[in-house]
Amino acid sequence: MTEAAGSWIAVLVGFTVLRLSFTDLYLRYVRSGMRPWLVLAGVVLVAVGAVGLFARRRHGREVDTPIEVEGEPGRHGLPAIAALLLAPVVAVLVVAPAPLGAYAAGRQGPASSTGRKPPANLAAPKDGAVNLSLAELEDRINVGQDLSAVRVRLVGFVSSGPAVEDGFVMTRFQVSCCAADARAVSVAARGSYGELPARDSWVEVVGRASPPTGVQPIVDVESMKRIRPPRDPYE
Amino acid sequence: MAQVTAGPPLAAVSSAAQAPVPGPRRRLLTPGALAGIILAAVAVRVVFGPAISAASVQSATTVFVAIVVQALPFLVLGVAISGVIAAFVTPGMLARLVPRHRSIAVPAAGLAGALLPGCECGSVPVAGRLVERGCDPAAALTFLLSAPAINPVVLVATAVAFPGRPEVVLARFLASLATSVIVGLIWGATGLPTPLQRRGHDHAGASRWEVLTGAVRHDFLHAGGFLVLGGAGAAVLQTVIPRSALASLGQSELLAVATMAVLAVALAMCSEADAFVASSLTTFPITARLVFLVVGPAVDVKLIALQAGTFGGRFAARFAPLTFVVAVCCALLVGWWLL
Repeated sequence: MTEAAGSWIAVLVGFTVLRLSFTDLYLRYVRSGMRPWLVLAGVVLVAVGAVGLFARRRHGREVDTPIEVEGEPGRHGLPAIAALLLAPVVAVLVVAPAPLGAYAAGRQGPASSTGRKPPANLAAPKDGAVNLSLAELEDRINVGQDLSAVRVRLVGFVSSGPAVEDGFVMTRFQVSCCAADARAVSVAARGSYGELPARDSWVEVVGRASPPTGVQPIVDVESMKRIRPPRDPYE
Repeated sequence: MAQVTAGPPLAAVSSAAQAPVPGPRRRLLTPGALAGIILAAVAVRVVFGPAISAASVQSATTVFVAIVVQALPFLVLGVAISGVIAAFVTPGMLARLVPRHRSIAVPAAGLAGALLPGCECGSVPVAGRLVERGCDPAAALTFLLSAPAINPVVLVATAVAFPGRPEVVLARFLASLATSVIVGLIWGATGLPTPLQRRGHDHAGASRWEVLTGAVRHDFLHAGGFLVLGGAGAAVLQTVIPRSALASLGQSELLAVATMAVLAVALAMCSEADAFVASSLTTFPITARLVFLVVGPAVDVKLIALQAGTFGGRFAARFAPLTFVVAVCCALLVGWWLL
């Protein structure tokens, strides 16, 4: 590979990372805390690529010829495998793969307890219900808390899975680093929710959690509405 | 200038990517060819659009992009440090800094790993550059193994993932440090080669700034290609092996340990996140989960690819199994002792 091609790849990868971090697209793949580091990495990559392109101009065309590897005629200084870096560039710029959804949730099977201790106090109710993440609800149910006296508001997407009778399963992924370590947190919903939206559509549910019974928390739905996908698809 | 013998051809994957035979002078990738590849990808997307959106492929692509995007900042940090070493650190300075005796240098390198906060992707180029500057490979490889495993960020993440169980953090620290030191000492004792895949040499008349950016660019392109390869492998394995199939494997201790060790290699999870996954796999005994935490940052598909890129395929074929065995043994011993 030539120096010029390598420099272009660095610029392209840097540009892709910057584009991700300035469009909220990055939230499909990593946590929001990564953003400053993504911006920094993008700037560095664009810079080293640009310096390479300008240096080539300054030193004349001779730098553009493939560099021979010492003692190994025919092998170039830049390995052709660097071209693989174009794969994620194309994947992001052309396909922009969607956040993990019902398919990935179905592959994970029944959730297992994390053993985490939930925060001592529930958040204050807003508009008549307490906003609760699915993970916090799961943690509270796991430690045996009875939340049936509290009206809660939950956000998740409709996923298939082990459904309770006359119900559906809503899921949200919990991500600690990147989507590769995503853990599906699922809640069985039943009650009056009207017509069930298609798989993978996002819903906001207001209802009451049943007293802890088994593995999966159960929510008796009082009202449900379809919502736009949240800015950050993960918890 | 020790240890810069040109290595054997890389693993089969890369030789495939490097195309048939070295001709006199070929240009594999001109900007025009790049544009062609991208246009071809767009065409594939337009023609096969419906097929590509099939759930499994899409899910795997999401995981693939996630692994690469998550690793990029750490890789850039690593190659930036590597570039600074290339531009400013002379072999003489390094010789003064690193203790002469291997029995001191290797444990010191292991502890020095605590200073580089990041995932495993960053430590490989740094270790490669240290070897190039004449550092004892045993010490450089110990640093390579310890940095992603025992740095403060990883230990804090582990403490958060296992609340009220500080012994898990201690066990992880001790087992990972022991793994890196033991592997370093064994590697040094065997005298097996640690060949650097040669990078392009510096241009005459280049300023120090150009040397720095040139080294960063070369190291990034080199390691980045292998990161993509490893990330793609991990994404496919994650999609092919459903986690739901694992739950039943946690019953017998031996099977659980084997499963967790293999899983750590296959999933190629960032060392800052693996503790959260380990803590959620409650069907597995705690010692098996410690194996997962110790093996993961030392050997996984992404790391093996990066090591093959930096030190050559033959090196990776020896180093990865050695590390795997030592890591499993250390984790088991520390686990039975502490947990």
